[in-house]
Amino acid sequence: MDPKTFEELREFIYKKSGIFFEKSKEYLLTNRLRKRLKELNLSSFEEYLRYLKSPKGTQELGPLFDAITINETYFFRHIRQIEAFRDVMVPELLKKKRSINVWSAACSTGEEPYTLVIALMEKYGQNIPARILASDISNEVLEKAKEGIYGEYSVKELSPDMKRKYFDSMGLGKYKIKDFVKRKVVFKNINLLDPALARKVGKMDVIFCRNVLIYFDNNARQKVIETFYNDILNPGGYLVLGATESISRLNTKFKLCHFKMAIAYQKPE
Amino acid sequence: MNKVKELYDNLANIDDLPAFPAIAFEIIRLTRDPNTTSRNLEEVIKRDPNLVTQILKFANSSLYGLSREVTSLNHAINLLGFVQVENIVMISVILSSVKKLPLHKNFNRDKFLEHSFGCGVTAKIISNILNFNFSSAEFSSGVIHDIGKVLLDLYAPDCLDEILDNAYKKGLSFIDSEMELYGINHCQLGAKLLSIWGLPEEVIDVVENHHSPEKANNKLLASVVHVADLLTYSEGIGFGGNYAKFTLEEDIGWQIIIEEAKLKEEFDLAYFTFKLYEDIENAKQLYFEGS
Ligand SMILES: C[S@@+](CC[C@H](N)C(=O)[O-])C[C@H]1O[C@@H](n2cnc3c(N)ncnc32)[C@H](O)[C@@H]1O
Repeated sequence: MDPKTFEELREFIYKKSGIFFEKSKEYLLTNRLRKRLKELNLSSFEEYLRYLKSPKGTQELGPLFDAITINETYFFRHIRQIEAFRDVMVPELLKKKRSINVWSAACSTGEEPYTLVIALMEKYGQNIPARILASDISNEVLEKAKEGIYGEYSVKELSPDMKRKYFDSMGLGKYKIKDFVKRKVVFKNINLLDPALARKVGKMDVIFCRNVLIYFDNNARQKVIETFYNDILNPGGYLVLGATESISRLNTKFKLCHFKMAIAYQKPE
Repeated sequence: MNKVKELYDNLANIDDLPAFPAIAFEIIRLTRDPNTTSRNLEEVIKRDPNLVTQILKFANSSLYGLSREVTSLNHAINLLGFVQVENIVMISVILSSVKKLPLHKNFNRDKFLEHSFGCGVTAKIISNILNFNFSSAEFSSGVIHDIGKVLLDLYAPDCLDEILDNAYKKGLSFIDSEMELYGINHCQLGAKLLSIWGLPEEVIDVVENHHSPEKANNKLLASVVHVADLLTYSEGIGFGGNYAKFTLEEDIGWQIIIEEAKLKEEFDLAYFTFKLYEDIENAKQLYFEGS
């Protein structure tokens, strides 16, 4: 793909989904879309872009998003966000209360909520000043999360020390999360599009909602964000999206904050 | 009178003040002389192998977006242009003189250099993304913006300790802490040194105003460096937690950028930030991990 086409394509993707597609993942996009080009009988990415922008293009958004979603999760994914959470957001929130509520809103197999617990334990010891709620729409992933057994891929960002501290090695590259971590997380099945979302979740100080909004259309995304803002987040609370995800094209009163190589949205006090 | 104020007043009379190397002056004189050819410039630069390496490294970096590998110095000079060569020379001269200084224990030299260099690179990236054209002045001013801190470390190390302690205890920024204690700050110190050195006004203006871009002659340039400074986090020196989080939209420098560049309506801050982070990551690999 020539650089100009890539630049235009990623701008298009951003406008439609709020996802910024990084140059370093260009090969992924190229690989996955090449198949699509063949199916559509198109001979170049320029043509594909033109097709996307044409009136018929709306039907192509589904396959395009499938091609760009990286459906994976692992411990300490996007560590800069976790650091911002641990070193800035949490201490700031704890100035006003003794314990905070944190929600991992699309927790998949549990790596994200357990990461939050581990990060806090590194700073505060086992008695962390936070309650962690984790939810997902899929029972299958929730079962795995509760079981807490992970393969090498999931723990690839962890040092041997961290692995020893928070996991029991089961051999054959399997790691089981230790009980004292597991006990800190409550898992629930919650659909983000459920009209009773706020009632099921309660009030929160930090929401991690990473890499899931891409599955929704603009309307649904707008609604979820509004519910977060109006009914779930406490004033001063934070919303953390995927590392290259934004809601700046939606209509929102959230304030964009910069941390060290990471951004998050804050509900003003 | 306090020690920092004394230092400021007597700066010109200090015997062992870091010098600005003669070769750099010669190069600056040449790049500003309309009769100079790239051959003339090459002759002088060649005398310093370090400079040759630096210039080639920059010519081949993604910052300048040249597509073919550049191996000859003359070619690099022609591609980069005289102004950029001047800037690169200034940067390497300053970086290497900082490297030679006997710095004191509280002053983490590597962190300082990383922050200085990072700020220059980030300033350049910001203006690349926003299509500003400062012919690289943002780069060199970014790199030397904190040179005043080096002076503090050299000639008033106790005061530097005090400033850091005070900042840490009260959660102040470095500059608020030094103003509270001594009433003179590293911006003023740095600017004075640069004018003793006889560097261009443009650069002195930015160094003097990188914490108050609204007061600069070139507000846009000073703002770019100011924002780059914010984004690069003065880790390890004068932290006090103040840069750990900020709201760019509320920052005076950012507002000047938005205003002067007429970015207002359609500008997407998140998109800008993602591009910026992506380029910073690349630059980091190029300059820090790769070397
Ligand atoms: C890519 S994973 C994200 C995992 C984790 N947040 C991360 O970023 O590493 C996406 C998850 O979103 C869940 N999901 C999809 N639609 C949902 C919905 N309407 N409500 C709640 N979860 C949903 C999927 O089941 C999947 O586990």
